[in-house]
Amino acid sequence: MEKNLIEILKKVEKPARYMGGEALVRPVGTQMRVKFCLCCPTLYEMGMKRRDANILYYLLNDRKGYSAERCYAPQVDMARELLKEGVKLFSLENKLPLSQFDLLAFSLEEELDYFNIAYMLTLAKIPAEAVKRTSDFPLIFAYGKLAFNPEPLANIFDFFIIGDYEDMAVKVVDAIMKAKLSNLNKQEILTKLAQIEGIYVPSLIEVVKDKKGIVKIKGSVKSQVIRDLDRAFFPTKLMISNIGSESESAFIEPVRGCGAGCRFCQEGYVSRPVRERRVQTLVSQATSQIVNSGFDRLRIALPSAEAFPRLKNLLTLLEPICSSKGVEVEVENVGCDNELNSKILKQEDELVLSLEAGSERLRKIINKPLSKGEILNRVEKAFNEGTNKIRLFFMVGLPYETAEDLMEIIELALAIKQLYKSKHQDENKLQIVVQTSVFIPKAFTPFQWSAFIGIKEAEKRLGFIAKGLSQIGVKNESCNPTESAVSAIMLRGDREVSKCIIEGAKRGVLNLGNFDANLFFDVAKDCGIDSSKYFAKKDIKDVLAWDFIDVGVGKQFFIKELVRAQKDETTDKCANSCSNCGLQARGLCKYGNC
Amino acid sequence: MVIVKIRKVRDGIFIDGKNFISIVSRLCFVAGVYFKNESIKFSPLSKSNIKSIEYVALKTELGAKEVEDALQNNHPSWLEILGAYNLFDDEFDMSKVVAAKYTLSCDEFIAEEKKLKEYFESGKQYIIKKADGESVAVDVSDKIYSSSVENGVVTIVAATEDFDVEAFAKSMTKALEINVKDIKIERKQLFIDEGGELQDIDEYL
Repeated sequence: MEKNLIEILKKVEKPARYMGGEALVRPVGTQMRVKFCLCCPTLYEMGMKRRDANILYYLLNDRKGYSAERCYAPQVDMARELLKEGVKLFSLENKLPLSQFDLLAFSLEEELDYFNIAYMLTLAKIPAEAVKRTSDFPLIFAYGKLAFNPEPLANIFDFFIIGDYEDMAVKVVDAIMKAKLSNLNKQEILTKLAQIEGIYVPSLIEVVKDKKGIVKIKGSVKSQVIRDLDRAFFPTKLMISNIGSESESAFIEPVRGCGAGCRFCQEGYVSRPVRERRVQTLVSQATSQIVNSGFDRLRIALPSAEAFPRLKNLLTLLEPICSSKGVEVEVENVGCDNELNSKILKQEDELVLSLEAGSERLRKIINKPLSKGEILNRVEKAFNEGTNKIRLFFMVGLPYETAEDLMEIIELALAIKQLYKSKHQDENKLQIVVQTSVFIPKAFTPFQWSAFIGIKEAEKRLGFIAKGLSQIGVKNESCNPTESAVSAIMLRGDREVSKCIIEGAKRGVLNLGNFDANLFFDVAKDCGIDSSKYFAKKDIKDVLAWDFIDVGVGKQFFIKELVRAQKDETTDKCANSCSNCGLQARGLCKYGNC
Repeated sequence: MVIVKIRKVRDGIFIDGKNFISIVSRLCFVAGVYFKNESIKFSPLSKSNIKSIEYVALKTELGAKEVEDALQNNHPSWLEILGAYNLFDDEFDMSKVVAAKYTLSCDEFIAEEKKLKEYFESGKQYIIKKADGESVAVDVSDKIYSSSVENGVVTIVAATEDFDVEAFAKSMTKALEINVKDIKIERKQLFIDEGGELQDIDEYL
């Protein structure tokens, strides 16, 4: 295999993607009791940076008696060579064909990657449809943040882990080990797995259609929550990628969950309750990773500076280790917040504000109630501290959006320009970039019933903003609305969507750097998928594809939040007051009255 | 100062210069050499697709043994750590590395030894380069310091600067009309300029 592989690699671009053998990787034995491969449905250089996949890889390889190999989506040139040479897609560690593993796990982090999953299975000569896979094939499961609406992939995967995956993955491997010793067949193994809380086995759950043909899944699957993050596994060493290792960094996760309650954000609800790691734990995790993996950068993953009140304390404790080793620290989603005032922080020269909506009214509706005055104060402070780069993030197509709301995006950019002008003689030094995307309604949010505005309307609104910004000399970067439309279908999709994922992958709809959204819509049409069904506004009485997943936050709470949005009412952050989202009932929330 | 001798092997030929520097720097960091930009210097890197010997100079308080042990424990499978040497002269300058010994081999060379020897004896060696859509022959004979042909293996000592060994191999086989499928190129040795004479870096160490 190895000689043959070198010959194949000579013919492809970036052969280092397919080599494996990275520094700091412990060799994985070929005689493990459970052969487990973690598949990242994205290119090597992106997959190596995905945190969920990294955590799971080390979790399994650091445990005695467990092991995991890796596989990433190959670029099309490599796929062509594999097919030409009759080589099945293989793992990086032992170059083992994926079909020879007992268990394949796919991380779900981006919805457009769904197509890459079917593509990888095809290259591995494994049927993409679960029903076509006998006991001779590996069991295939998915985990990660997008598994909260598993239905678009329900016909592809044998099972899903719903919620925090660290403890669950170990339970799954244990169950498979036992099943192998007992010589159980696929059906019997799935039946055992279905008994574990947090595991969803689509083939074993009862699906009924009502008179209107709407599919309803009977039963319920409870998402899993690690209550004590200090106890959760965290890698102390990360391998050095064969490509792009210069941009890698150590990372720590001080909090999981977000109590801000932004009404468009799925992660903010499904990852509740907010859980924090102790500062000492974080310092020890950061130190281990820096020392063991040779990083000169440390990223602190946070939804916002406010999400972790002990951030300043953490930075103070990190200072000696980072200073002595020349390590620079970046805090995600904080930008140039100079109140932190730490010498180890990377000096950001750009102020980044994720405002999402142009008007104060709409920001209240989405529950991100920043006033125009507050925004301008933050910008002015940044100007006073020497910043002249501002990046603003907005969405179009938010529920209850009007033309005035869009106009206010342009007006806000203009106000920032004028503010700069009032303080500086050379206004040419100011760089404002407005980044606009299209709102995509997501499962488990108060806006899960809202409409996706459609491609034409999105183009119209994005065009309006682009024109307005260009008139005032502000740079605009817009997303591709056709791609957003595909995302809208995937994120609120049902089982019907599976067939166009499989067919799309066959016809070249792949997220490998040049996603062809128009081709997807051709495929969807050929598969008889009515896109408008997935874009349309839903009634709160409608059955939703993900209704059977219990994330702890109740449907009634989402309805209540939707009503408050309609009345321009905001809801306080969890840390300030409990909004009775439903987590108390599961005894998980520290802010509630549980 | 510690000088580490390493070799890219097997599929390591696919690691390009930029990634090679980054990976080895990270490994040195793990070994305990910090502030990498000021303290780590590389010998002139070989291009990808070539098995090669490389040297890394580290300004560090650590001893060669400590550095070597740490690197032996953590290196990628495509890299061999061949040794680490203490150098008490703290100013070893990698720009002193001026030449490299390459071997070029393939099955087809065995039957063409005479032709190959005559080519080197002629004193006229060229690399064909494309410039403005036209092929131009660039004389590189002054970049090749010595050559030999034995058992189908061409060995040359050539400059590390302004000499592309891969392009040379292609131009040479084209000029000699030898049809080759795949030439294996390996950089075996590096030389420093010691008062106008080439000295094997290993002897210096």
